[in-house]
Amino acid sequence: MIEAISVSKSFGTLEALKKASLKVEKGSVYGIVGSNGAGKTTLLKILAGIYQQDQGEVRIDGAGVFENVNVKEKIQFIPDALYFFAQHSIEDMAQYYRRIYPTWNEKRYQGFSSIFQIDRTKKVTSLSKGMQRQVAFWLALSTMPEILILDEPLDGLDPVMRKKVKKLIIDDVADRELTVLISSHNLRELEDLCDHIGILHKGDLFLQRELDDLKREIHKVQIAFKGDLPEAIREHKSILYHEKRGSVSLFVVRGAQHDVLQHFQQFQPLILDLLPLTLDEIFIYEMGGLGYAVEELIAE
Amino acid sequence: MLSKSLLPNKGIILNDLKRYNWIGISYTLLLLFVLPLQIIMNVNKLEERTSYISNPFKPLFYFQGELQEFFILAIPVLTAIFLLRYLQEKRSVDMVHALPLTRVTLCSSHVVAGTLLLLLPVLLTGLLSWVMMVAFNLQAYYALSDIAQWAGTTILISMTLFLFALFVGMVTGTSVAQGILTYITLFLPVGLTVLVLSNVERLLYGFQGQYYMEDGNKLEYFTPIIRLFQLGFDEKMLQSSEIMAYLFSIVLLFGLAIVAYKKRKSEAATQAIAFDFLKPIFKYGVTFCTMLLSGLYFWEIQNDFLWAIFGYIVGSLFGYLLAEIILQKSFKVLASLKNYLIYLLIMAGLLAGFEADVFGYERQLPPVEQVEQLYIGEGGYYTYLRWREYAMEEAATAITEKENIEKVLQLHEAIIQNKTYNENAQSYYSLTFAYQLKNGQTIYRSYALPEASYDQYKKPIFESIEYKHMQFAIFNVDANDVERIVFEPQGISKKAVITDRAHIQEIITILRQETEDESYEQMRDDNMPWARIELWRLVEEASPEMTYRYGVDQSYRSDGKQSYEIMHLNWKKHYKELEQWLQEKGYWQDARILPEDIAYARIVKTEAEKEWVDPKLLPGVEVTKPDELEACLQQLLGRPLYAVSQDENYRIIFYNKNDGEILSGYLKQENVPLLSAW
Repeated sequence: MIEAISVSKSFGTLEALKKASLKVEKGSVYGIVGSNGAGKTTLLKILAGIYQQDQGEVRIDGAGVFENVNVKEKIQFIPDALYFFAQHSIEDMAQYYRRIYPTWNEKRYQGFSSIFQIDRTKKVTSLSKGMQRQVAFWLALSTMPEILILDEPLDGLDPVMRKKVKKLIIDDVADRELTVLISSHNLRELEDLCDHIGILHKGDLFLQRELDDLKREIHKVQIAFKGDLPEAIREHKSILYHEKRGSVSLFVVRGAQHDVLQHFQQFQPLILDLLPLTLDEIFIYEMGGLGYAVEELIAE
Repeated sequence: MLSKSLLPNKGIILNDLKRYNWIGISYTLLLLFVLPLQIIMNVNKLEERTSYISNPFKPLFYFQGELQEFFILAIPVLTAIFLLRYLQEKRSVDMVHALPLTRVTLCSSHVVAGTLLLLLPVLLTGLLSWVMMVAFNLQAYYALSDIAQWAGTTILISMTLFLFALFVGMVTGTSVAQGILTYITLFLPVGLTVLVLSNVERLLYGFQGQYYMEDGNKLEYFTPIIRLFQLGFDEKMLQSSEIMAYLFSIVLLFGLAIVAYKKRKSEAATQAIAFDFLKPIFKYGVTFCTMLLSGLYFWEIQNDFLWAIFGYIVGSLFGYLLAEIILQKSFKVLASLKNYLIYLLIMAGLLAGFEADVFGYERQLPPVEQVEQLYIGEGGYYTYLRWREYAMEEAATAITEKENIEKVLQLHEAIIQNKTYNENAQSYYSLTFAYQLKNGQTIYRSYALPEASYDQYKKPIFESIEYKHMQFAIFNVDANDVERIVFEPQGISKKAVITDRAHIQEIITILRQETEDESYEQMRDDNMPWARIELWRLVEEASPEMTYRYGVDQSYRSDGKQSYEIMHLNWKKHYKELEQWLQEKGYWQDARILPEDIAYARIVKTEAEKEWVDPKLLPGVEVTKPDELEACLQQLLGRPLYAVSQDENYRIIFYNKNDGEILSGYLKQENVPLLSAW
């Protein structure tokens, strides 16, 4: 389990994190969404034990991360900007990790070569960006991490690669209860990957939700009447949003599906559709006043 | 568990070696070039070698001169820079710091890798040099112990430099800053001391920086760079205390590097200085140094206080802005100039303090009753140093009589009172005072004074017996040691050699008497001496270190069987008693130049533009009569008179029968014979 409690971090006068807290259960895939400069990378680097927080606590399975060898052996961090030693081939890099990680799984490393299909004697720095990222996953997963921390892992990858990487992550989560922390500036990217989402804005995680709950509890209702919209229809306590397009009205309502349907059907509409919401729609309606921050994330 | 977070990691070490083995390989090749290869090259020359050339193989540090020292200086620092390269870049530092390794492990792993890269080339070179020694039978020239000493010293110094650079790398955030700051801080003990002392010398009247620089501080021992070069040039090998100090430094620097690494933030990469608290130290350190350097430059070039102030301001401003630009990584630094103004105000206060002499340094004179003894002498620090070193060895005397001390204090007082007059003079001589007080303290002052000033104060001091005993080496000569005395007149080949023991005794007694009787004016007249007097003393082996005997010129001569230390004195023209004794004993004929040694002399006017023209081509008079030649010899001056203009000086050149020039000098106008014949 990953826990961050009230973590703050400044770089000079820049306050990157302001008392951010988060909790990730074992085996879950937690997505951190935030615009550029929201503090995503800082938070991930603190969780990976690269940076030390100024204030607050970071615990992984109950122990601190910074300078803690035993904890860090369980973590793999794949940064946004990858680094490989200039003259090293994939095999050289593997040798490096092999010597450092006692958990290194040689069989797995060998096995992956059929998946990635990159010549292991090639210099890593001479490979394309996408291939370098594959190498990073190859090496990281070969150390059998319990926790995988990924900073913008899908950024700049082609759709085929995205699918490949997502599959790798999901397989490990399913097979080994891998805990994954993944950041993105794009909410949509994480939709089909994460079971939890946290939104980081100006150094603070102001919203954390389990996706299934969210989807279950929020509904988009399309409704049309013969005459005017009955006034009473608005009396439902959890209407988050209402919009009228000609004769059709659109509602976003929170609540159990059954209750919501019952409420609208009592007014005997001509048409009543219950539509699924996309993740970003959910956030926009959920956030209300703070929705602007989410809109920003979707706009990209 | 403990070992896991502290011990070096094999993976990191092997990876370092894999990435940077080229450093070790290059270092090996360079060392092989400067040592074993040079040995081979010198073996061929051994046959041509003549006996007086010293051992071509020693010291081993001298092979290829500075090249070897340059490698020892550069490679360890380079090694540290490359090993810490990852720390100074964001991407690589993230990658390495995400690994399950503590910083202690990382640091010690790099140290192990660096040690191997620096150690193996030296050991290999040493081994090869030993093989060469055996193979070419060079045991007569160097021994295994020389190789061991060479290898040991090289390893010790390069490890110190390596760990120092490693430590500097921990506190800096770029490789460039690491390299530059490593060498700057290595030079800082000497550099800053010289800068500060040289500036204070300008600001405090009577202060002489050299006195504090060389007075037992031994700054070079704190600067491995200087120390390293001494190994090659002076054969000043490391002392056991130095070896201990280097070993201690290695351990200390290793500890400091680990502490710094543990405190260092990963995000410090790419910042010039990695620790916030060091930034102001760096900033004002740079400002202070550039200020002193620039100020000193304008002092030296313009010799003017206002120019110096200009230099201080320009230098400090430059240094301040430079440091800000480096720290902020931006040229938009003008906003931070507020702090510079505060700095400037503090410095202005300091300068005003020096000018107002708030500590009373310039006016400080010891009360006469507190003075145990004192030294006074014309010349600067080195003259004083020679006296002091000599005093320590052979108990040369100092001035101790109250009456004389009072006179010196009066002279000193007069100099202090006339500071402005002294400073505005055109040409200078140096006068140095050193009071040893009864409380053990020493007050040392040295002044540049206008030519021929303070004569009325100096006369009674310089004529005192105590002063003469202090200044003139003849009083320290043991007549029993002197093997022979040689009178060597200038210009001609004859000389008087005296080996009779009784005569030697008598000459030394007379010379002492003459010196004691000499007046202040006689001491400094320009009359050309009749002859050089050499006092030959038998010594075991000529050693250049003995050359610096106070109060006299000395040289060494060896005739193959025996070595002599020769003290040079002058037979001054007013040494009449000596002249009479030489006449009585029959040495006189050979001891000085006589009219019969001269065919004729030619007197010409001294004109600057005709200085290099053959005097025979210049208008002048010729002197041929023996009595006139004798008169000219009697009045002959060794240098032109400074009191009259150059045009009023007369030059005289003496020729032998073959028209060869044997002696030349100057005459005062009133002493020029046949002036009417011009």
